[in-house]
Amino acid sequence: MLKFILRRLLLLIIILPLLHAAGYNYALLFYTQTRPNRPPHDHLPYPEYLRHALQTGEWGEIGRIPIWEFVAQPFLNSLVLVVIALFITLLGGVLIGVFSVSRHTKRISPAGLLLTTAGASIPGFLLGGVVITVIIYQILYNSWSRSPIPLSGFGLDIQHLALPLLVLAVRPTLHFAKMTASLLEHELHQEYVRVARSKGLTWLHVYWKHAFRNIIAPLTTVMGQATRFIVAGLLIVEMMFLWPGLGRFFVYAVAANENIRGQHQFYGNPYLLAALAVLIGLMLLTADLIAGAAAYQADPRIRDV
Amino acid sequence: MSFRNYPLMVGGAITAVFFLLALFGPTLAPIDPMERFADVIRDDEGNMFIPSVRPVPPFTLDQFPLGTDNAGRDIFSRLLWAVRPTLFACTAVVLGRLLIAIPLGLMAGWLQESWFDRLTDGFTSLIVAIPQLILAIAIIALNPDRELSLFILVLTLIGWPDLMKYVRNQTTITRQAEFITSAKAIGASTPAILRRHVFPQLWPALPALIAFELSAVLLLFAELGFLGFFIGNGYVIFGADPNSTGLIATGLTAGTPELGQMLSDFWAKIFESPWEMVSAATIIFLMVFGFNMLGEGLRRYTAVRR
Repeated sequence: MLKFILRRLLLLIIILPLLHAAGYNYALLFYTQTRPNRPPHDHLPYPEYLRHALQTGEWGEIGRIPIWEFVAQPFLNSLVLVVIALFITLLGGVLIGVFSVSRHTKRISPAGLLLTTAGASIPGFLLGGVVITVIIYQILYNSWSRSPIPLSGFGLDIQHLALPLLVLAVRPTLHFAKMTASLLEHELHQEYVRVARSKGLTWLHVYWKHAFRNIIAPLTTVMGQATRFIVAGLLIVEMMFLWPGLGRFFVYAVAANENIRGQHQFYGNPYLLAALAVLIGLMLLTADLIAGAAAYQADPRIRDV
Repeated sequence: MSFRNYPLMVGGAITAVFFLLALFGPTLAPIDPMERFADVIRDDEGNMFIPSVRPVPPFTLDQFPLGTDNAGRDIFSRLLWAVRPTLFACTAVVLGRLLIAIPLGLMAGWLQESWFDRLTDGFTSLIVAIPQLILAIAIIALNPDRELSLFILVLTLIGWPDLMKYVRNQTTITRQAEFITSAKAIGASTPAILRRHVFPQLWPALPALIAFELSAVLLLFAELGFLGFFIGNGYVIFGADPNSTGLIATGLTAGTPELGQMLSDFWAKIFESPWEMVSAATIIFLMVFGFNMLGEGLRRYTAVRR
């Protein structure tokens, strides 16, 4: 176990500097591609920038704030969303998945199938957009004095977190539920389930102690997928609810969109893009590490690989 | 069919409707989707509407059943036009991904543990680890010209590794089968074996795979559109300035109707014409739901037949 984790950590240490280089060079390419008529940029090429940064410890500034200090708070803001959303995904996904398999037919029940398929098809912004629209119209035309929950903005209380988490978690949760249900469906048709039942064990016992333990290892792969959904969803959620996190700065940095005027200091900024690549990569790789460790713990067969 | 496969029927029906809309939607559209209504329109009760100044909400005028957008254009007609480019792009992307993934997957699976397999495995693991939305934005943002071909190319190039892994794993399973040994024994060449014996083993799973892939690509298009990356460039709308005689820029929107475009600029439209976003997102939801149901139904259909 320790060896496995150490090997993954080593990989992390190799990949993160590569991501930093990729992000920086992408920004330089971005500058020449999107602003062909402007004078060439005055940023250093990556090797010189790196040498300078390693010698002096100056990684660049945004608005006179050192870049790592600048991105630390957005990183934590995004991390809160990702961690809670992932927790909801795992818990809700497993529960919905287990309950949507009918114990009589050992198949996914029609209602469960409808719920998981429909839920996994809802684009996050549809849900968020409808909620915001309805509340705004209630205020404008139906004399609500104020919105019951904040429509946008940052805060670490349940009211501020509710809408972003709803939008962020609903699709991964139901995707996870769908995968849990189909894995469980396959597992319940195995011989050992029949043996366990004929021994007189209860369904609850067979579900949790026998069948579910066998699907933990494949579910960790699904957890990796869900994490990617959630991290990609950060871009949507943070733009929709104006949450100051990594996803929003990523959109500011690459999208010259009309409705985010006045963010020129972020647009194509190489320091910002390099830092974002590192931090988003860190989130994904850490989730991958946890998923890998869980699979390693759950399935002895993959230990000697 | 003794087994009632309702996902197949529901999904098939929804998918068929949307493919028909993509084909015939534009001819069904009652109004030109590009026409901006700047004239005063009165309803039966004498209320006045000027769609280009203040968007008409849905269900208020018979002329605009789903209302008008922030440029004063009929949303119903725009939706009928918008299905075609989006669905065409999705289909093209899925076919392109399959065209890349199937030959490479067959080769990697056949040459298991060779340098080719290791190389492609490393590369695909890297690409799969990055969320497709982030990768797509990073590449599309480099090009200021948002043409249909750019979207098809980018989404094809970033999406095939997942499919290739699937094809590779299936091939490594098929490779062990007895009929492959027999085919080798009669002296069939490797390309012939791959074409005649390994590839047909993929057929049963392929329709479901295409349906699921279509839903994933469509959601990706929708998310890109929401973030402001949609097919076709934006242009400035000019409207009459009430305080002077000249024209002023009153907004910025895209010309050609496309589902992604109708989702964009959320906060700019929220107080003017939020119904545009809601109706477009509902269409997207229905399409994705239809594809997912179809995929689920096809998966069951082939599983039952076996």
